[in-house]
Amino acid sequence: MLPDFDTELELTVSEFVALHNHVLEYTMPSVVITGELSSFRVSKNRWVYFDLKDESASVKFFGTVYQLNGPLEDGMMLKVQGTPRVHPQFGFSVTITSIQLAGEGTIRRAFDLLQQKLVAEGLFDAARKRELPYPPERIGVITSKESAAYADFCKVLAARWGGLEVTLANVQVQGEVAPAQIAEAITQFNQLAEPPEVLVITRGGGSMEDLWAFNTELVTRAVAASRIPTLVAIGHEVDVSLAELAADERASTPSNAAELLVPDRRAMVAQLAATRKSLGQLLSATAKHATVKLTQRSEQLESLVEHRIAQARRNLVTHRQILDLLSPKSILARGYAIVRDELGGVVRSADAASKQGQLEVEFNDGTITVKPKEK
Amino acid sequence: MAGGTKKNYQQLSEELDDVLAQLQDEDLDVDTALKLYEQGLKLVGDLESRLIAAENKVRELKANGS
Repeated sequence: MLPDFDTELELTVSEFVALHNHVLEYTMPSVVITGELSSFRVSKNRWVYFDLKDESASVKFFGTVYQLNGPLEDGMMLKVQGTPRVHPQFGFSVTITSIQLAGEGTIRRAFDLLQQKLVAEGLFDAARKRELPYPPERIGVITSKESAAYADFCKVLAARWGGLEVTLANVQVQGEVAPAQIAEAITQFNQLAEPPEVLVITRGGGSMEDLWAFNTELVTRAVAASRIPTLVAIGHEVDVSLAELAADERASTPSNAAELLVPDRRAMVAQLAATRKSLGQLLSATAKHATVKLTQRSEQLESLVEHRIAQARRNLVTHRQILDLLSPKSILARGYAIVRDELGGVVRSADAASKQGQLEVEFNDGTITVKPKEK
Repeated sequence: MAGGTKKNYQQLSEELDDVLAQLQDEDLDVDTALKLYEQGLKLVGDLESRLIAAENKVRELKANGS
């Protein structure tokens, strides 16, 4: 016998769950719930489960890791948007649409956690930093078109340098869509056939909550992954955002970004004038040096020639002395004499001499005539 | 100017640095020095005219899809 249920509705379990979901969908298609995070866990690197609780209640949430903007931990205050539903097996939960951090304390904590994680990955390493071209000719700017940051950047840039091609990607720099828009703009610039030589990602100052987009994992990773060198300039006084840490260079304000990016043309004009002058000085120094060298070489040439002449003179004297030694005159000085006949022919034997009427005998100091006696 | 690709400011500036470095060599012959000097003057002139040149051109990146 069936028990007597006093009810209008009799359903199977599946029908009951389906009806429940219809009612929820109709009455609460989307809901935002704020509470403290507990029992946070990630399954298979893909599924996210946690509870949000307050003093007297706790609600289960379910989503994917793609909805996380950074590491979370129990105790954080979250503002979660989602769709409530009843799962056929696991019961009631809220399917997550988006997660926002609530309160400065939680934002701070999330920042620290993400920073630790990215530091460990080496995303902020000094070795990763590239030098920005100086000055670049094509600049990509990612910011809000209407912002004072953009106006300031353009103004300072134009005052300092000319002939630049500036391409703006107009994005929201705060609010829920900001991280995705900024990351998408970075990707888009990198995919251009002729990409800019440098990417400037900038906005003016604000509270930590205002600057939240620049502390998200999505934007920080996009900055780090950019093939185009990056300059991130967020106007603030105290904290440095994670996007800035990931950038190749950072600037304190949008104006400062423009100052870092290009030289001041007035300073350059002065420097060029100085260079023109030093070119002239270098040329005249070279000419002077060449003259000195030429003088040295002509002196060298002169002394070489003098040396050769002196040498020749010395040789001449020596030769002269040898010649003198070999001359017949010097033999006469040693006591010899030359005997000649009347015709001047040299008489070489006593026999020949005896046949002559008279003989001429030449000594060193003169000649005498003698008559030979018979042998 | 000759050549298809126009040199940018940085490239010209590096060329000038190079000319200055070469000119500092004391043993440079005068003909080469004179050539370098003229080349340096031309680079200075080119760089100066870049500084006076043109305003910055600003355009907007078209959003992908959305």
